[in-house]
Amino acid sequence: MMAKRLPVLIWLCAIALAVIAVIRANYVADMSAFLPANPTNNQSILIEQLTHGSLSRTILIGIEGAPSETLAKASKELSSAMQASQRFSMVQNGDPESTRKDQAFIFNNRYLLSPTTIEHFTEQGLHKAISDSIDLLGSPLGLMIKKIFPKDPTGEVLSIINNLGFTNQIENAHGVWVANNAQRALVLALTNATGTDTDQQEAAVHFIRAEFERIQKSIDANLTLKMTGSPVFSVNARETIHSQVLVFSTLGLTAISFLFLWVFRSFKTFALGALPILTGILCGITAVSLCFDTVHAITIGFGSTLIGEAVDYSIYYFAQAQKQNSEWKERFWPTIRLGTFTSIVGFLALLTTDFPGLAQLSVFTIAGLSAAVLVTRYVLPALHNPKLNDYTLKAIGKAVIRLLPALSKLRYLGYVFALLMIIPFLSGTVKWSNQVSDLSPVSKADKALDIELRSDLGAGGARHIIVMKATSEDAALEVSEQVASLIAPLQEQNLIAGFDAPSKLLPSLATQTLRKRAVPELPLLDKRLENAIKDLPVKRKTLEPFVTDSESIHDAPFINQESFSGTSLNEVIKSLLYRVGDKWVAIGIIKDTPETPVNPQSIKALLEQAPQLDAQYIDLLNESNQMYEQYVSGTLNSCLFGVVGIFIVLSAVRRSIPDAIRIMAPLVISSVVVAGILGLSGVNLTLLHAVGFLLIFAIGSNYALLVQNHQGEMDPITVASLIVACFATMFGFGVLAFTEVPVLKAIGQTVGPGALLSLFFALSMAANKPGIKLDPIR
Amino acid sequence: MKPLKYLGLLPLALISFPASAWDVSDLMKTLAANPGGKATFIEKRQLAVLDKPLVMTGDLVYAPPAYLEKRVLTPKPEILILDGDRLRYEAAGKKATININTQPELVGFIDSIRGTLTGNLRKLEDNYALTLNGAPKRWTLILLPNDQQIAKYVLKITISGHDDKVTTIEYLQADGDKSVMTIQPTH
Repeated sequence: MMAKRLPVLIWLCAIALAVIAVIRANYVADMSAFLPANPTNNQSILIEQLTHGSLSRTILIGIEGAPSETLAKASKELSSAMQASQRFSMVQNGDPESTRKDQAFIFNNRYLLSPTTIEHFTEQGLHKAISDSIDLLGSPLGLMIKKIFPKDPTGEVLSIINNLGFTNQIENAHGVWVANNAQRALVLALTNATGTDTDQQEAAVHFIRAEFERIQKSIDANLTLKMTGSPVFSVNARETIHSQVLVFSTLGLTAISFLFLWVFRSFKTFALGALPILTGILCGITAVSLCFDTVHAITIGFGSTLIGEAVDYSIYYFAQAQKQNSEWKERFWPTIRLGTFTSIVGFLALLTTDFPGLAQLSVFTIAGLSAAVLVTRYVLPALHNPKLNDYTLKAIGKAVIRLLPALSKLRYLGYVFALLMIIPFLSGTVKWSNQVSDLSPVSKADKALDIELRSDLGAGGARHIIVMKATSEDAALEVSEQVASLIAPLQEQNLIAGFDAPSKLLPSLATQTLRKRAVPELPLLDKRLENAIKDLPVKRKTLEPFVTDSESIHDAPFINQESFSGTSLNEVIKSLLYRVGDKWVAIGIIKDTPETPVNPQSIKALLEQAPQLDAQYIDLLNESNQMYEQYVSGTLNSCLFGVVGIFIVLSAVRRSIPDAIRIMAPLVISSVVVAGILGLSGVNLTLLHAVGFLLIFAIGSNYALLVQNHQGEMDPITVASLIVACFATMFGFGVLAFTEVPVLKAIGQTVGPGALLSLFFALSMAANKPGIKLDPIR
Repeated sequence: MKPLKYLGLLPLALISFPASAWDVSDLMKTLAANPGGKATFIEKRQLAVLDKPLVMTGDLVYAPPAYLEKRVLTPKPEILILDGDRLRYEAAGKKATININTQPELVGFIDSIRGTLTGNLRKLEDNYALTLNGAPKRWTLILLPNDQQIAKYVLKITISGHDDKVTTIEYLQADGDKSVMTIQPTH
């Protein structure tokens, strides 16, 4: 009796420990599941940008649905609520008041900031600069510069604005940014929380939604909110994954439950059947939380699909062990053990990938399947007295056996179909996706809206960047200055649309000193000015404010990072100049427009001219696609290794290569057919499809083994257990094909049909060979 | 009803009668019918910050209803094209395009020109109080801004011309600066 209860006791203790581990585990739902664990240098820059950069914190908001006056009111209320909330490090809506601080900062520090200070303060420089400004007074710009002409006759403010590329103006109506003929008010915000803190970003996004609802109620019920940007997307993605995993695993579970109840006609059996699955999921999460710091939500999402394979074990057990436990142990357990072993070998291969998401998947599956099969083998027999009503099972089994001869003929049709499916492979219709975005749960509509809002706000993503490093902040700024002057000719020749460098906002101390020194002390300045304006239509007296301002620079402090606080430029400089470890990193952004696309070769060639600078050009989009390609090829290799591993294990255990081939042939054919159909229906295969194919082998090998293992005549109960198991798998995985989460969808649409086809080919191929190998597996 | 009571109104009716023979709306109709074309201009600007007026010369092209091009030839080449709400500016190899709606101080100027050239009485009356003097052969239209936003920049705009032709545009700005543009049609 003790011997019988021992496994149950051990199992209960394991469950208790697992529950504790599951409760204490640290769950995350960000993109880090798909970022490499050991990135290259370029990749770590990309990851830094994705997880901490301003891109990961930018929220773009459009308010629509009312006349422009109402939109302006809503924009102002929303912005001030957001500013007051302390959740955002920057909120801008085009309010002139908010840009006034920026303008004041630039104006007050114009001689330190302007790239033309040095050339403008010689006698000829003054003459040229002032006479240019006088010409400008006649142009449309004249209206704007007239006011500042007496203080800034040399036009330093314009030099700075040109240098910073602040020339794209967003339309303004009623004091707020608008687009689309003033039918949309625009707000740009940066969350305090970085991309790694989805909880805080969620709080920020929810805050905006709640505030907007309040404004809707108080101003106009017709107002609508459009919101995009990385924080919004990751919050939406998490919500989608949560809700969809819940809905679809409930659907799958319900379907499986009905199948169970219908086949076994017993609630007790149903409850017992759930034990291996639940144990598997608990142990899977536990194993992941022990092996990794965090558990990715997507792993759990995948975990619910594990039901598909674990449920098979219960079904085999209940169906096959109903006569006598000992017979099951002798006849079926070795086969099931081998089946589980092949699955584990298959998934072991995924452990070697550099991507935490897949490695976790591997650990989860191995631990989960092991736990499920052990519970089936040791715990179920201890709990269960098989007195099963096998009415349904027998009926299914007999019906299928009657169909076998027909099925066996049908297989030729299957072969032809499979052969035909090779065509899409050869013709390239079956494509492996090369874009990270194919994995992203952001809908096409949201992506389009994001592009629209970004172009409205002139907030294009930074794709082409130059990463500059040095040992101190000031040294990084000096590198940035040298790179900026290397790049400048490209802009003059209109080969690039612009270059944003931190040194343009915050010049190095050396440069600031040079500029300060270039402004002469009073008697000298006066003399130069007098000569400079001799033949110009402007009086010395008019320019008195200029002389006063120029002189005050000698008492003014240099600017540093802190000088920007309170202006919107603060965020800009922080995102372009930051510390990583013991190095300071300056990021230069090369502007990319359809008219002047960036030519990477010319940038690289320029940087090669200055090998002493630690400056590197990176195309972030290229980098992320390359990372993804590496990810895809790594996963594909792992999956292939997994399949080869399964083959080796089968050959070794059956001591026969032809036998292993016979077992695997139905799985290969099914995979080809599934891939062909997916390719033909225009689906780009992602790496989760690859994992799906591995699952076809892992699950399908069980079918093939059990079919091959039958002794002489097909036994109705065995056949029925396979059919029921296959349908349970179909339900468990198949429903996922209908989710909106790309990674789950991929698994669902591969494994669902794959499982069914595997069983079909396994049964039909075996039915053709009545004299199949008879000795049971040891 | 005592008919006598209304006799007193008769002189008023007599006085207003000749004036209504040719009024702003008639001028607007004439201007609206202008088919467009080319002209040369001389513009003199008196600015408080400068001792001497700035003098600019160049060409104008007008294609009704929304295209107006000002090509400055001296002292420095510069091109200004107003096409709908877009203002394109080119000078010294630099180009910029702005939407005039983003620049409230420009909208006032531009609407006065646009409204006059296209004969859009309603648009002009939205922003200005209009006074018309003279006769079809020699007329002067005075625009006094009643919109606060515009009044911050412009005190008075005086446009004069003959028939459907505008010959001078004079701006008096709120800061005392003044510009006078004299237009000479080329055909």
